[in-house]
This record gives sequence, structure tokens and C-alpha cells, in this order.
Amino acid sequence: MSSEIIAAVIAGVASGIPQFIVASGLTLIYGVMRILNFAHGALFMIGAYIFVAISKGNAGSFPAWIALLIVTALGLFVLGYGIESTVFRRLYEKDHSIGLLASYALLLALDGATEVVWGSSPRIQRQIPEFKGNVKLGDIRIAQYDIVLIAICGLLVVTLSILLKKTLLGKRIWAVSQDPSMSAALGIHVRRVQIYVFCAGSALAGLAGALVAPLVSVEIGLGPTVVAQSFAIVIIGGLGSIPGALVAAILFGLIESLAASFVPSLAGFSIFIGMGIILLLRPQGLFGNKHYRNDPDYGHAY
Amino acid sequence: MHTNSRFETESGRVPLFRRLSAAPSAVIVITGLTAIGIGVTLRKENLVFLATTCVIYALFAVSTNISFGWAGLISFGQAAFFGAGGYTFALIATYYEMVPHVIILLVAMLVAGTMALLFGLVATKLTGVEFAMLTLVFGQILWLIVHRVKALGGESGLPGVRRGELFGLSLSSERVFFVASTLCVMVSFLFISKLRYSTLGLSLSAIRENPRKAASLGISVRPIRVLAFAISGMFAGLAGGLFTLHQGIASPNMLFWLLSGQVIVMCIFGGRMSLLGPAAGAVLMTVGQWSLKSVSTSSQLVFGLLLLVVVLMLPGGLASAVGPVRRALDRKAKSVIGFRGKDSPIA
Repeated sequence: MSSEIIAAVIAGVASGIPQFIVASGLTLIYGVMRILNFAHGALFMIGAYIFVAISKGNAGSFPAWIALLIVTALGLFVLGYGIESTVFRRLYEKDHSIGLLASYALLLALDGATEVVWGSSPRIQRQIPEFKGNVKLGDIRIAQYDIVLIAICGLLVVTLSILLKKTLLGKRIWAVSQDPSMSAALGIHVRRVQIYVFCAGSALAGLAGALVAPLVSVEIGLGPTVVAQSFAIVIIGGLGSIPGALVAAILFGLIESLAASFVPSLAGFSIFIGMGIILLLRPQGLFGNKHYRNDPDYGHAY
Repeated sequence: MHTNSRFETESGRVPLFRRLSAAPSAVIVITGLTAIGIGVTLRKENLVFLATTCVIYALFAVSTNISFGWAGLISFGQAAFFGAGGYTFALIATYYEMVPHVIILLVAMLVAGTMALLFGLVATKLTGVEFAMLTLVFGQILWLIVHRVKALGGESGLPGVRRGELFGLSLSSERVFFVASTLCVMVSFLFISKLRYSTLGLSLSAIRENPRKAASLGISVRPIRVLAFAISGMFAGLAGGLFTLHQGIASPNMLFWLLSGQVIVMCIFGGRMSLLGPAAGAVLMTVGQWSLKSVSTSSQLVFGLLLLVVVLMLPGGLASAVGPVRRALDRKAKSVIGFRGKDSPIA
């Protein structure tokens, strides 16, 4: 019994990881640009499609798989640059609802473009042989791909935290997210920071798409579903907080996985029920700061 | 000249356009009758069907705008009330065939309104993005329930809703149905427009602009938000009921959050600060999507790009284009005949 629980826990953690990668991009972009980007879901989907298209449904070997991941992330980095410089650049000074609407329009357009390029029939990505099968630890069975996902997540968390905490670029990103006009006055090239962050966020979405490709059937409807869940994770973790996104994503992976193996009738619901409870008890999110938003009316319902 | 003080200009001159916007009910009746006129003369049945869809979405958008535009509450769960109305209608219409449609529609409104009221009581604890997310949660839970519960038909929904007849006229004729639903929507719009300039409607604007000041003026912010949310849900339920009757099926897609997103886009596209802007947005978006589908295979791509261009060029929505056009027309009228209104201080 206990080994079953441990297996479900590990599977749950692993299933939260792609969600975390998507959500970390989303929360990074929100932190710097204050735009909730609906199109992020489409970028995730395009990442999956690019991965499937280049590998023709089968990456073959481990080195090829690594190369494909990098190519996909780079491709999305470039696409992100294109989107930022044509659309989002015009949105920073404007009202939030405009940003929301524009990114929704972009979601539709990118969905449509994907359908034009790759057709509407779903595609299957085969798992490479190295990652098939399970690992046995005593009587606990763990899928190998889950271990890969957890390793990638660890690598990513370390990279992101070094990048954001230890480098000059990270400090600039932090400064711009706190106060763009003050940062500009101090000589930070705000536009460049915005571009970097948006491109990096897009690359993360693409990476997550590529990682998920072998686990699901890659199809057009992927975007809206994923973006709704990622919004949930970003809000629960606290807007703009990457550790928050990590904890929230893993928590939800866990709850979903435990619900699926022990209370099947709750599967699919649990993420939303949990989100509802957290929102009502702690509206600023797990790691959010009430004063983060510089808004005197925030949190008051009168 | 009698003028409405809300619309009086600095010079005291009241142009035709303003006189019309001072009387929204007149605009609603004229537009509604024109729509009926156009709809009835359409030759093809499928165009009449499209027109009916437009009218129903117009009601859905205007109802959503009560909470979204007037009160500033972004809700991603509006489709849940639309779906609740639809499913209520489908259930009653299948099990109790004798009940007249008008009564079922009223019940659907009541069910959706009650749900919105109960939910609003909890959700208005939060504001802003958190409120939006909580409504998303609520909508998605209902959507999943509809998927799981066998009695509600699961994935395939509740098909086989019969149109029946109204005052002896068979509603299965597209034209009769169009006229009936347009009249129904028109009556709802008249009610909503009365609401807009009532104390309730004006307090909602005050709350949207500055909740703190509104509270200091003695407006009970939270109860009024709840009320707005409930009324908004009620009319969304009516739209959902009409939609089910029109399509003959209540499907889970009616509750999915993408529809909530879409209806918010209709509101912003038409102009959320205007009373009837969302209706215009709904009609244009529905017709636009339909016509693009028939001319091009990549309709979604074209539609998304068009929407993007409109958003970037006209951030206030289509209704915000009316102002400049009106001013241009005024200028032209002046330059052509040197006209000055007789109440103008200069004249």
C-alpha cells in the first residue's frame, strides 16, 4: 500500500513539471510586463508541434532528443521575438483589458496558423527507447520518463535561480518588474529587458510543449486547456513568483495523481477545488505579497 | 427645448445623435424593428438561422457587460450561467412537454440568476484578477460536472429539444423563430437600458471607477456587486435558454471557459463603456466568423489577425469610433449651412 502511495506521489510530481515550466514563463512575463498572456498556451502547442514535425514523430536516440529540445526552445525564442516586436511592444502603456484582448486574439491567430501549417488531425510522438519502461526501487515502480522530467525541472530551477539572483541581467529584470520608469532613469535598457524576458518565457513554453509531446496526442485544442491551468497555477503560486509557480504546479500534479489513483470521481475537479479554496483563504497566492501591487484598493471588497 | 441633463452639451445645442442616445429605448426599438425587417426579408433559411444566433449572442454579450462593463468585474464563468439556462431549458422541455416555452425560459432565468446570486455572494469577497480566476474555477467545475453526470448527457449533451409553437405559430419556421427571439431580446434590452440609468446602474459605474470613494458616498459596494452579478447571470441564462431552443441541443461546450472568453471579447470589441456596443460586437463577430468560414479554410487565423488589428487601432472598441465620426459629421453640417443651434449662446 505504502509503495503505491509513493509511486503515485512521484508520478504526480512529474506530471506537474511541464505545467511548472509553462507557468514559470507566464509568471516571468507577467512580472515584467503586467500582461496575462493568453497566447502562451498557443506557444506551448507550437512547441509540441515543432518537436513532432522535426523528429517526424520519433526522435530516435538520446543525443538527437537533446538536440531537438534545444532546437525547439530556440525556435520558440525567435517566434517570441517576432511576437513581442510586432504586438506586445504596443501594449505596455495601454489598459490591461487591451492586453488581455490582444493576447486572446493572438491565441486565435496562432491556433489558426498552426492548423494551416500542420493540419487539424492529431499527431503522435513516440517515446525514445531510452525513456521507455520503468525503474524498480524495491517494490516501487517509477516510469523512466518521470525521472527525466524531474531531472530537467531541477536543472531548470537551478539555472533560473542563478540567472535571476546572481547575474546582472537578473537584477535588471527584478528592477524593471518593480518600477520600469525608475529603472530607465537609472540607465537600464528597459526595452531590451522586456524583449529578453518575453523571448525566454516563450522558449520555456516551447520546451514544455516538447517535453509533453510524447505523453499526449498533439492537437489544436491543447493551447486553451493548458493556458487555463497555467493561469490557475500562476495565481495560486502568487503572480510573478517563480518558486510559487513551482510549488503550486507540483502540488496540483500531486493532488491530481492521488485523486486519480484513490478517488477517481474527483479527478479533473481537484485542481479547481484546490484553487477555489486557496483563492478564498489566501487571495494573493501562496508566495504572493499583498503589497506587491502598489494598489491601495487591492484586497478590499468593502 | 426639453433636454436630458445627462446629455446636455456646453453650448446647450443638442445634436440629433445625442438626442437619440438620450433615449436608448427608442434606439433599441428602432434597431430591433429594423433587424426584424432585415431578417424576414433574407432569402436563405441559413442566413435567418445566422441572424437568430447573432441576436441571441447579442443578449449574452449585453448581459455579460452588466457585470463586466458596468461593474468592472471580469468573469470567466459567464458561460456557466449561459449553460445553466440552456440545460434547465433542455431538461424541462424534454420531461414536461406541456409547459409553455415562455414559462420554461423564465424558469431558466431564475435558475441561472439564483446560481449567479449564490456564487456572487462568495466570489465578491475577491476583486480583480482573483475574482476572474474564481469565476473560472466555478465555470470549469460546472463544466466537468456536466461532463460526468449521466443524467445531463455527458459529452454529447441533451439533444432533441423541440421548438414547438408560440401563439399557434410553429416555431420550427426559421423566420417565425427569428421574430420571436428578436422581440424577446428587445424586451430584455429595454429592461436593461432602464437599469443602466437607474440608481443601481449609476452606482455600478461609481464602484467601477473608484470603490473606495463609492463606499464613502454610502454605496454598499459588495451587495450591489452581487446584485449586478446575479442580474447579469439571469440574462445570460435567458440567452442560454433561447440558444438551446434555437439549436435544439444543450451541449457541454456552452459552459466551457472559451465561450466566457469569447463573450468578453465581444464586449471589449464592441465597446464595454457603451450600453449597446457589446451587442454590435457580438453581431459583428458572429457574422465575421461565419463569413470567414465560408470564404477561407484558415478562418481562425484571419479572424485572429483582424481582431488584433482592431484592438491595436481602436482600443476603446467599435463604440469609441462613434465619437470622432460624430464630431466630423457635426463639423461638416456646420460648414455646409453655417448652422448654429438656436439655443447656442452665439446665435
